Amino acid sequence: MTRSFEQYLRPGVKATAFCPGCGHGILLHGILRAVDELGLDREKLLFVSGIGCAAWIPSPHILADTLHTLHGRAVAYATGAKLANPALTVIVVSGDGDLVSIGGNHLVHAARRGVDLTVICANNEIYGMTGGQAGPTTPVGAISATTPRGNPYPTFDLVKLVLGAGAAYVARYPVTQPRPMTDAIKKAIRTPGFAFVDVASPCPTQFGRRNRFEDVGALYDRTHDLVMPREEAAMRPPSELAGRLVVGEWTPEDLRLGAGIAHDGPGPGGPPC
Amino acid sequence: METLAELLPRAGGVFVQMEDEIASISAVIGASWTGAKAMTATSGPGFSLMMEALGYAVFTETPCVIVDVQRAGPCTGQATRVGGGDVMQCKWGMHGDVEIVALSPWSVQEMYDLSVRAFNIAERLRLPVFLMADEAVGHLHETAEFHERIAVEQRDRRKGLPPFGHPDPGGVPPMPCFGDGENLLVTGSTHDDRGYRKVEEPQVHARLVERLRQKVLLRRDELVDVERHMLDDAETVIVAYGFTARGALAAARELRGRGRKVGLLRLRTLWPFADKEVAALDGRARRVFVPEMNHGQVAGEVRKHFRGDVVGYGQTDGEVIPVATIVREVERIS
Amino acid sequence: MLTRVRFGGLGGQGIVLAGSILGEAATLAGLNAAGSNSYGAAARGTACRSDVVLSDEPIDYPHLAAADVLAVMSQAALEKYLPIVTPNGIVFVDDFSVKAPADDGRSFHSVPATATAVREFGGRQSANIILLGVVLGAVDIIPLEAVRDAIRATVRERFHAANLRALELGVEFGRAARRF
Repeated sequence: MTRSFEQYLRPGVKATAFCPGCGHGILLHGILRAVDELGLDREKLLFVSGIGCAAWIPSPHILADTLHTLHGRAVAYATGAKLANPALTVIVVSGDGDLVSIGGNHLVHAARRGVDLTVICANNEIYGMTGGQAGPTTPVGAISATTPRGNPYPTFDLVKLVLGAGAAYVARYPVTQPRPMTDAIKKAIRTPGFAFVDVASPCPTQFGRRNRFEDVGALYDRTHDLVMPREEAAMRPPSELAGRLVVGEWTPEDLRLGAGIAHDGPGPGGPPC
Repeated sequence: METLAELLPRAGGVFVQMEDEIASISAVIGASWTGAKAMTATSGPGFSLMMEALGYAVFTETPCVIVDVQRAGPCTGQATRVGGGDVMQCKWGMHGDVEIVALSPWSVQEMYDLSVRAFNIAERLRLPVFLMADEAVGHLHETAEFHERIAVEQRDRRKGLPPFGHPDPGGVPPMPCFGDGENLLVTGSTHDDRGYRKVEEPQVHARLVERLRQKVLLRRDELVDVERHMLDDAETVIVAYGFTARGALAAARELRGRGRKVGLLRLRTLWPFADKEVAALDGRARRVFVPEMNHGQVAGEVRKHFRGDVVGYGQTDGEVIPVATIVREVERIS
Repeated sequence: MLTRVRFGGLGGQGIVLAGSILGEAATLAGLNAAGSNSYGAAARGTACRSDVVLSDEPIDYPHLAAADVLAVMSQAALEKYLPIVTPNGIVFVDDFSVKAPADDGRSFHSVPATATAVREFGGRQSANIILLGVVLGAVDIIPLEAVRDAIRATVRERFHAANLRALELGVEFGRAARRF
């Protein structure tokens, strides 16, 4: 039986601002499904976001308290709200450029403190709203507005970064795997302490077009083809992991074991496009 | 902050040391939206770092208190020495046009009393209020009286009304908080009275900015707080604020002892500026002397409103302006 | 009656603490007190001073333009602050690190604050409290019981005994200086 999530949307909002083919709509659906399946008290639900396309996933769409903040600062605002009112369930939804570049310091320190937040990173490998500039998750070699000859810099592996900073739960799934993605969001919300979900969400307009994925389907095929479960990645040599999207769930226990945390490649993006 | 770390949890509050000043003011704003009274304190470059989020606080009408213990800048400058160069920054350091409220304490007693006042104004007007102290006041130990009971402004958390709009010019809408079941939509973009982004409608932006300005300007009479010392027959009036005003008062008394008709207009509110109070010196005082630990930030404002001679004296060497210097300079111009 | 006291020395010597205890003690004794400190960004070794103004009247201006009492633990502090000592002011120097000049209408007293601290307590840490005791023994400012209370209120409990003993040693030096 299909469920309607209309009740979770602000009545006045008629359509999202997302481009055709954007992955963020799927993520919005996943978040609402997670909230619904967990039966969360919406009066005590607060979404915090920064600046960028992903920051628009909760604001204005979701009918709950939403705090749409400044570029990079969402996690710091969320920390203040959660500490001042621990009864709130606080979920940060923002992009990779916002959370990891501008807000990188806030992200790692919130993970270190272990504040009970859920941070969902809609990772499209680029600064979308501001015009397609490279970010810390842009694959090596990818063309962006600021890397016309290909991005020369390695990327952050957000799983390693946030887990290393002290998160209690970290997961990575693409929007092309909506059910495990939604389950990971549910687990993150239920996790006491800091939880982080890295969601690969394709950006046809800024990333796809520049990198010759003229067809939205081709871009989704790329994401789909890059996926490798962490269990499989653990058995492969590092040379086969470069650029793969290693998916799964991780906890501090994995840090202790020291292996199979994530792929050892340059990041979740593909090889030079 | 070290004292707050000790005392706040004992009083049922929460203290958190964030990773930087940007995070601190951001957490303050997040906490304020849950209904908490929230503050942070800083000085020097840390104050510069807070400017972005302070603009957010103004625009989202978030009550909060920022204590800036001014030190000798620019930049890292003299990290442990006194300065007064942030007077304009607290008013104009955020991009865009804003009106804020800034108070200027000159003693330990007023650090306490004006902190209370700052929170009450912040709650009543839904805006950031600045306690613009300086290092000399910040490092002062003094006999002070702490009250058993203080008047605390309760936030208007009525539900069901637009949280970002008011029909009156300068009207302050009620502010229900996160968790009150109001499905609040808070954004730093231009928004309508329910919080929906309206970034392409000129009249929405103009109306919002104007209401936020008028919240302060229409209440200037209740916000502006000055002290008048020996002004009745004063030919020379010293206009001063912060720690410098204490030296100015001592200097004025000394000059009176020497037969000089000198008085002091002390600004306990920096913003909104005491324009009427300064203008009222016209016709009585012949000249105004403005000693300050910057190069004329308040003297320039005084010149806009006092038509006679305005002589500024700026000292920015990391030391307070000695009483003897003020005495000497006033004698020189009189 | 207005008394203006300046402690001067180097960061780490406890100059600021000496001033704080004096100010706290004055408040406990029912006087008005105003104190201000000046120090460098480095916690140890840079010039620092602690000023205390004591009065039975409310204090209008809390800083010092002149000092009735100066107590220093570094030569640089003596040279820097000597000009503000009033013509009949009184100056105490720690003989471990400071050479006192000849009296010039103002009286100079060289006291073994650091040496006594090392001898009695095996370290220099109590020299500041000994110097504070010297000032209080030589000049009638506030009752000693208020100073003892201030030490109990300011210093961590495990250091109470040593600090109270250091105070008494300083007071004895101060009383001897008074007999000059």
